Amino acid sequence: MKIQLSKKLIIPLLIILFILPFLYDLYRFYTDLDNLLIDYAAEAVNVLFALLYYFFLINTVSFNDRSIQENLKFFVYLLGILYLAVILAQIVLNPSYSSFDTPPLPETLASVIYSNLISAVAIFVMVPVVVILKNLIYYKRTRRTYFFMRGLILFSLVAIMSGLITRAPLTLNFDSSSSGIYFDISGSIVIILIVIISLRNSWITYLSRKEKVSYFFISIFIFWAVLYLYNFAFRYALPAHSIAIGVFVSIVWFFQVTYILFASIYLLFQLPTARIFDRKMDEVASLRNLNRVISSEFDFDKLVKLLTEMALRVIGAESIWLELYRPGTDNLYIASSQNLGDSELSNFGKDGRLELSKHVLSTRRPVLLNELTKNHPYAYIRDWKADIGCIIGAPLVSGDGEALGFLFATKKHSFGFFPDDLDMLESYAHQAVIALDNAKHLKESFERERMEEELRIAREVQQRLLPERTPEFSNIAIETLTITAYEVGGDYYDFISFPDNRLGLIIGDVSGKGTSAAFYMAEAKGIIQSLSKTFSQPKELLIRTNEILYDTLERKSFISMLMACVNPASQTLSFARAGHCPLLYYSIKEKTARLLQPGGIGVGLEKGEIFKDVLIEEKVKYKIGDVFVFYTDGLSEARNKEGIEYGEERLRELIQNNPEKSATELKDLIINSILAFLDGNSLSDDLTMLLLKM
Amino acid sequence: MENFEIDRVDRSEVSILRLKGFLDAHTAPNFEQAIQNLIEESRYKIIISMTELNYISSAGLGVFMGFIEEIREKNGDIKLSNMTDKVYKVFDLLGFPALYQIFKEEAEAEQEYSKK
Repeated sequence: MKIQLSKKLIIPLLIILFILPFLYDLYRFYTDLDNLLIDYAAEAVNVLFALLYYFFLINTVSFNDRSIQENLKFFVYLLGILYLAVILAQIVLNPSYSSFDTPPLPETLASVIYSNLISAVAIFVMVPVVVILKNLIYYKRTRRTYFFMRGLILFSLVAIMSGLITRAPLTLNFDSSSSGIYFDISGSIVIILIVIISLRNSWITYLSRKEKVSYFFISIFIFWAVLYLYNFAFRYALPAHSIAIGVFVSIVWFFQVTYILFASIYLLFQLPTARIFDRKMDEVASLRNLNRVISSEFDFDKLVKLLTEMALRVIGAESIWLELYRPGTDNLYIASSQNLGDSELSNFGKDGRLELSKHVLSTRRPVLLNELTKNHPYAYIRDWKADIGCIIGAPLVSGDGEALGFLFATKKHSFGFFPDDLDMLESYAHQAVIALDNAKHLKESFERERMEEELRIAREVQQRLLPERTPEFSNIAIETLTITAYEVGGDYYDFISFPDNRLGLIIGDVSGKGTSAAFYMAEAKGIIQSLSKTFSQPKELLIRTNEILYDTLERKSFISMLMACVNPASQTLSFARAGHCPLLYYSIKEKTARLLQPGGIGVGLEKGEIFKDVLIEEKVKYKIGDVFVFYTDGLSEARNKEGIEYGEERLRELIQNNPEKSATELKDLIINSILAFLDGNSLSDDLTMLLLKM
Repeated sequence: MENFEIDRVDRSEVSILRLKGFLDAHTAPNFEQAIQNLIEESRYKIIISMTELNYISSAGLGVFMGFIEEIREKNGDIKLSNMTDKVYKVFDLLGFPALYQIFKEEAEAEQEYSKK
């Protein structure tokens, strides 16, 4: 933060730090002064110059955000600037040094200027180069990378210090006899560290093939350019000015040479596999892409379209299509395709020849047919699509092993696919399975929600349709019982008071469940209520009801009904049964209960003629104390956990064995009997019962 | 969930669907599809054989009604056979014997088709 605040100060400070040692160099050139203390002071200023520039750089230029390509480009620019500066300076100043001295001494004034200038330029270029190298090395960093880098910095500092103390620059020339780097321990360690660190060039792996090829050739050129640089520009000029800068630049130069050399070799080794690597990277990218799309896109059609698009591009096929089974059948259809003609789409599977799909299904593995000769067992596929030279196919198998369909890709020429194309196609097939699953689950949860809502409405409708209270009628005790199942079953009952003091009772069961059952129930109730104003005999009423309902009911729907009419004056109950459960009748005189089941077919099954012929109205002359039980199949078919039905017999015996009980007591007996029988099992259908005790 | 299965046997003009298990509101669509398939293939002489049918609900019965008109218009029929007593009781209760021919054995139903 402190450094950032003083940014404005840095540039003038840099200039001062440049001028001070320059003036000292000039002074030394003219006076042959050899004061070690001032020398060290001048070196310290030089080091300060480099450090200050480094802080200036990292605070003004954002290096870390740059991509590999930008880093490399920047490096080439810097190298270009350096060469340009050196060449220009050499032409203008034509420097010369006494190479026998260590450090070398400038022989002309121009050489002094040259040394200072080139030192500044070297710092200007080499400091960012270090940052660039660091960025490249840190592309994939481990704890060890940090360790080696810190080691390198540390030993570089030691090398600079030892260079200062021995007043010997790190001469990287093999002809150096006494004070060369090879005799310097810290220098040697620096070299070892540089070699180790230079092995870290994993960024190369992730370059595209095109980049790898061009970078390789560029790297050879750059390598020579950098290699030549030391002797060309730095060797005498830098140490003549500053040993610290000389050692630093030498190390950075050596670092560059090593790194570029290794990178260049690495690039070369990667060239043969570059194409495959490119492809794999593309595959990974496209699968990741697909994965993302699949989790965000829920429209199945869009999903499969995207899937085939991506697979076509990555596999490099000429056409691709996704075959799916129609739910619950063995018929396949094309859910999505790329580059299939209209005729191919419309003729798909028309001749019923899907041997290839069956073959893929039987192996459950991806299949590669690289050559379709005329007599090939699957050559028939050319009758469907003529330009198939080779074909690969993968099955879509769900997690529980169910075959959902197939993914096929083709090329025009034989031997167009590689074995790894199969893996790729299989990955896409897997993705397709996930997409299918997602779409299915989503649909199911929507469906479930919708059903819940429908059932809620249906239950409400049913509750409103049933009579609010049981009528008081003569001396007859009437009890009702309704238990609505989770999925509304369509049970219904109603009472009609006829004007001549007769009571009508209707019990019915609409086929099917849910809202449609509730809807038909409402319709039936309305029709019966209005017809009862004109017709009062059960058979008549049922015939009229059937006539009307037959026209409006869906063909596969029907209503079983039982209609009774009680006349207390004559103590008769007449009833007709339109396909409904029998009427249970207990006669106190006979002391037996029996089921009355006169002929009759359900309402809505037939338009009228047969209905009329078959329907029989029966009349029962009852005594006081007789019992009638009307019920729906929800009672007789109530099943316990073992799957056994409650049945009419249990009901019949119950009534027969308890003739003295009141209507309420009987109802309770029945409820308890059913609950005991169910033993915790829930009802799958509505249960309705009307009980009359005369 | 109770199981429901349909086996289909084609004998010249007649197709036999053998029902197994529980035919209720949940499994009725499968049965519907089976008959729909026969109609699409113009096979209108159908026998529904029910030896192994354990249970049929009103929704299952509805399936018969949904197609019978169309099939009879095409000179075909749905004949029923091999009902267990329990299943027969359900058909009988609803008055199906007045609407459909019911046979003890598939062969009898087949003979009935060959009469015409």
